[in-house]
Amino acid sequence: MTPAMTPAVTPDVTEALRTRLRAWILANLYEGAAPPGFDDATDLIAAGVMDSLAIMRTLTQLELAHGVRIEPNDIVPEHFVSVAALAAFVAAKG
Amino acid sequence: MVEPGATEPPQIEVPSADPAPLGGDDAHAPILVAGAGAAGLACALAAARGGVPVLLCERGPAVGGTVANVLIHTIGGLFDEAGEPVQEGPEGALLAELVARLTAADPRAAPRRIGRTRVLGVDPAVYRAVVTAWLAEDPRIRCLTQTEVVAPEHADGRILGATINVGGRPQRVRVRALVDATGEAAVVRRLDPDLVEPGEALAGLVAVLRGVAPGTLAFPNGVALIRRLRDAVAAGELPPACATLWPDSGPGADEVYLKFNLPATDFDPARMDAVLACLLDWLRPLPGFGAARLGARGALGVRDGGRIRGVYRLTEADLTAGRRFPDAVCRGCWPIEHWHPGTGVQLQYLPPGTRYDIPLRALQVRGVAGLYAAGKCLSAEPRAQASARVVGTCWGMGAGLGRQLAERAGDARETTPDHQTRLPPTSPHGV
Repeated sequence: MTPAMTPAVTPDVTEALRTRLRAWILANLYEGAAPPGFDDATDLIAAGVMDSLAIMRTLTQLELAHGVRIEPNDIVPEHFVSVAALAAFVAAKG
Repeated sequence: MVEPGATEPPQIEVPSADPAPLGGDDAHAPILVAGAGAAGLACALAAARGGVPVLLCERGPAVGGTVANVLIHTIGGLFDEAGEPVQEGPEGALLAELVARLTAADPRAAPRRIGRTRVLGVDPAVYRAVVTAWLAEDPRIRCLTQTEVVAPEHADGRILGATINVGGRPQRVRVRALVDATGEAAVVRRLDPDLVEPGEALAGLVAVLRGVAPGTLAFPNGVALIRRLRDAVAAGELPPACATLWPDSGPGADEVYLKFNLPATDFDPARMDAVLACLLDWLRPLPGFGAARLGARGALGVRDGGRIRGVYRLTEADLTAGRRFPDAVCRGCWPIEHWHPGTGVQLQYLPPGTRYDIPLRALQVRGVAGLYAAGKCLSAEPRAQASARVVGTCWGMGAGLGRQLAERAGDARETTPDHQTRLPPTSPHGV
């Protein structure tokens, strides 16, 4: 594997990112209360939580707090479907 | 079946206007409903079902209100997050009939999800045709279009009648009760501007694009388009009005509904023409928009044109706590969808499963017995109105109020309780 192919994200970084994103999603998209069984793999789109407005809020937050620039082509369900997916996406952008 | 997409709304047959002059018989006086939008329609239908005559006055040329005039293609507030009907009892039955009539008239009318909410997708022109036909079925309802309630009259703290302008011809009518369902408290404001709190939300303006490739805005493509729009505004490629634009798939497969959010004052239709022309040029190179063309355009939709000062003022805390009231007229559960003039839309869902009551007292104008408001101009905090103003809840409010007014019809005329300050009476010769 060449250096350029080495993942830039260590598990620790991803875990810290996940924790921050999870806290933000719970506070802002769930009004602070995690539903039973919620975890980082919960399908936020199927739950109706990650709707159009929520994606707009989320990407504004990502750009402000995480310093990434989200392009229109980045706005696909796979990037916003769960806390884990979002963290992986942001880590890859960073 | 109603032909969808009809450009000319069917006209309701206007009976000859000869309402009883003031001084007539109380027992046969109608309930006067001003405004034939969601709340006014529901109030008229429910009161007539209760056996009382209704005089429904609509300022515009046709009934249907915000849905038909502003081009609302998703009716919220009919169902909760689980897809269950929000209203119960007689109000639930009336709203179920509305849904049944709309879906029977147009196979494309169907429930859909927007985020956690469930809405009924409709074609605004079909909605207008359906409610027009529905009104005409009930002989107790006399509907006058191009008729405005210009001068409510009251004495001893109770409403007595009103002057209505029927196609420019003023007539005085004695009324049993007067319901302001104008959406902007226009009638109450005429009685006393201090009885109305000023509105403060952004207005909506809808333009329909046709000829868009089906599926172009499938979730979450609409968000990506919004992102492109905002970038284009920031780069000076599009006018600032496009910064708060929300596109959505319409009822027709080739339709996109463009909803602009603008200050309710200082609206210039000519400037909007230029904005739309510029936007269409910008959209056409994007995938799916190559053959797009401008279709219908709605009237400016005023989300908050002013709220009455009622006997009770519904609060945000009432909503979030799912508060119950003994004098409930209906229930609501729509999120608090506040279009703040400074910061744009803020959507706050109520706690899961929460339904709140809207009390009759929030529809009763303070100090004038027999004078009510239903719909967007109820008595409420701005953020409570931002939930209660949704179309389905306005139908519920009108239905519950109409039923309660009909039930009171056999009682003696209402009077203002002694603890309320009564308004000074209007001139005995009208205004």
